[in-house]
Amino acid sequence: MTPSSPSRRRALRLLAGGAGAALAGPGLLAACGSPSSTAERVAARHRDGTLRVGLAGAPGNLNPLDSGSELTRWIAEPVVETLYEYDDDLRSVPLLADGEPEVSADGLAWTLRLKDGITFDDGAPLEAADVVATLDHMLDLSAGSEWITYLLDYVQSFEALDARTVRIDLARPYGLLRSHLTNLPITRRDVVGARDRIVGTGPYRLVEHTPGQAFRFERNARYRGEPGAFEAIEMTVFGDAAARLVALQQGRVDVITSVSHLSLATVEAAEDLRLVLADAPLDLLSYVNLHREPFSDPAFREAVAVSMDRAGVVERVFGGHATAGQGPIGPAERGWDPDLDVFAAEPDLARARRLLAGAGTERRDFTITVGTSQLGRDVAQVLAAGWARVGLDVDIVQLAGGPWSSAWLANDYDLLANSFQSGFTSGPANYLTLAAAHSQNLLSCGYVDRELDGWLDEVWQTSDEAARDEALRKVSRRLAEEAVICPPAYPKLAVAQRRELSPIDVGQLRTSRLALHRLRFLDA
Amino acid sequence: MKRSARVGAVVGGVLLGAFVVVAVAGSLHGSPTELVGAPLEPPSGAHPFGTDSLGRDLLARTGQGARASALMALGAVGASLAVAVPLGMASGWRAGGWFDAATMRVIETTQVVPPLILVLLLLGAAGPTATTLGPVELTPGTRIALCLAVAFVPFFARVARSATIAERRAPYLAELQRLGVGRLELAVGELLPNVVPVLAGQALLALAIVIFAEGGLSFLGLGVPPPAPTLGGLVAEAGGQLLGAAWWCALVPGIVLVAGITGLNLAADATVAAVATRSTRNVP
Repeated sequence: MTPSSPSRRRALRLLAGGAGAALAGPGLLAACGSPSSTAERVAARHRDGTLRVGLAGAPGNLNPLDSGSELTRWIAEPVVETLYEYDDDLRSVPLLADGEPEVSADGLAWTLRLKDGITFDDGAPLEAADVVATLDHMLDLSAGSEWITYLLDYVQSFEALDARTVRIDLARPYGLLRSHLTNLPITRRDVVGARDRIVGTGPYRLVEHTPGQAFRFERNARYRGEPGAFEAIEMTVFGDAAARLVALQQGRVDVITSVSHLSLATVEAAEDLRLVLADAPLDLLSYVNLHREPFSDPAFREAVAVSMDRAGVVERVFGGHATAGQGPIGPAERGWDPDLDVFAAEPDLARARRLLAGAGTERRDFTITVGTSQLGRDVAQVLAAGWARVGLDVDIVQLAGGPWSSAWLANDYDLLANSFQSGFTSGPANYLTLAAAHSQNLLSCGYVDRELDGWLDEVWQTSDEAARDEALRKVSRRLAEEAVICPPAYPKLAVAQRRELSPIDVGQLRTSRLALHRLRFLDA
Repeated sequence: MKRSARVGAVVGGVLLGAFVVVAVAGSLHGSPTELVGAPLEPPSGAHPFGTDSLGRDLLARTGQGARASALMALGAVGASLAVAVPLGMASGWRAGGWFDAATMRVIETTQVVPPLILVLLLLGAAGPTATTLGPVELTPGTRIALCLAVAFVPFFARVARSATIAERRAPYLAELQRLGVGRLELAVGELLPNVVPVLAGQALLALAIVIFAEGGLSFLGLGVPPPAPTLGGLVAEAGGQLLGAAWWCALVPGIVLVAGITGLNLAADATVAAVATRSTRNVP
């Protein structure tokens, strides 16, 4: 656009170039190479022993202590480790910790022993002071760590009893602490506040990076276990989903994350690619604001819930690779209740119209606030088209991450939706999603139900896994029946890879882990 | 007018006609937001342009998109002209005076910022949600049109000023002033009709640029929010389909976009040629 000097020739040139690219694009892309020639190119590339990964994005702050987002943690995953890890059956087993924690009879004092002989990739030994520094950073309000939401109010103090022993004192029973110890990464005490450096005890070390663009990892020679199969791992950011897929098709990368829902069929159809779909703690958050009309009206709320086009979202957006939604807990998460059947997949338009006719509110319009991704936009469009069939006028508002969070905090929304992955903070669960249903929570959506508050407290406090799962099932059922949190679908986590690479472990994907260091080249 | 200019005018007219036909036919074809078919159905009798990834009729969406893009372009250029022409004419009338100097310095300062960056800044300041301007609520489309209009004001004001300065030197204006004709009457009745033809060609080109710019803004995710379609938004949405077999998703709205912009370019070219021919004839 050049309004200061509009030139017909320039505009036409731009236009011709754009049109040419648009018309020739598919042909050019299809002509990138046959599968056999690409395989030869990939095999040649694999001789340097470098695994190449295409990511959708990378944060400005690399510190894995600050964020549980998959964008941060996929970069940190080859480098940092946790005190406990998930085994193939998703049980928490010791990793850096030397056995189970000793928990006092009242459940308020946890004592952890660290394994002997573990060193960071810079040569420093892992000591209790590193765990203390990690916790200290997470509980420092000025540090801005996401983990503070999980630890504040529960963790009272912590100290190193000796070089290998840490004691954590709690203000009240906190059964979820075991889950957190399985997910919070441990870094060296000198770098807990670093935003451009990662130091860990894992099989690889970060050797160089271009902020937001590229990351190179090399084997950690000091790693105590079996070394990774690759000499190096390179991660490159391809912000555009189509560009990411082209890089995979051309063999420039071996794995891509965040496969667009629009490309699932293309990957499935490609004989040299493998689509890996996993039931993972990947939620379509959907909160209605009970603080104000129209969702403060229960009949309106229910009408919106029963007329939600779940089947449309599953089929039209996810191409069938999702499960129709009920309550806030999905099939990959603790507390999943396969028998929960509050809503049909197809919208019940007649019931919705009856409910609207009896609703106290006169409003027949609301906004749905989503993120800026194509996925959020498509889900919102399918839902809005469905609600229009019962006379509901829905405006779609798209907000970037910061403004979206601000709208949530300020309760400035009608229906708030976004996708959220919790594997790196909660493993096979999503406890944070439920927080907004608690009447005393800062993010409360306005729903007040003392019984439900009690169940949520039990979820966070009990150490009895069966009791926690039962409480989660009750929470999910109540929130669905009350039409407070009822997502349209439970999508699957999608990753694509080349077939010259051993298959990505679906079991690890269930907690969002890529576990790249466990893979190997099949053509080397 | 030269033969090549006449041919350009005819081709431009045909392309603009096709653009209008799609806009009207699409708007009459059905709802652009209803999920009427299976996702990614190829063109057929029921859906002449096929369906998009969500199963919406692409003819209806392209028609509505063409209409929305055209209205946005007309609104942006119209608003810009409404501000820029009086400003430029007043400045040109008083060329060399303090008003002219002040106006030109402000315009030059504004032009330091690249136009697209200026539009992005304005859109950022306006925010993504509904905006009110006094008692008037601005829709997202109106807001984008106004931001684009602001970016065009300096250009149109300069063109209007130059045309006014050129016309101001004509002896007939001095004679009319001596006869007691008022300044306003002179400006509106005599000056404006001579400035408008100079601006017409540029305005047509600006319409094309606005449609193009709207496409770019939609591609950046700053266009009209969904589910309302615009041509740029449709092409942007179809980006993910380029790797599949659904060629129609990007191609059809892309062709309509190209037709509209090319048609306006050729029409602008013909208008400039016609004005030049007229000026040549008027030279004694």
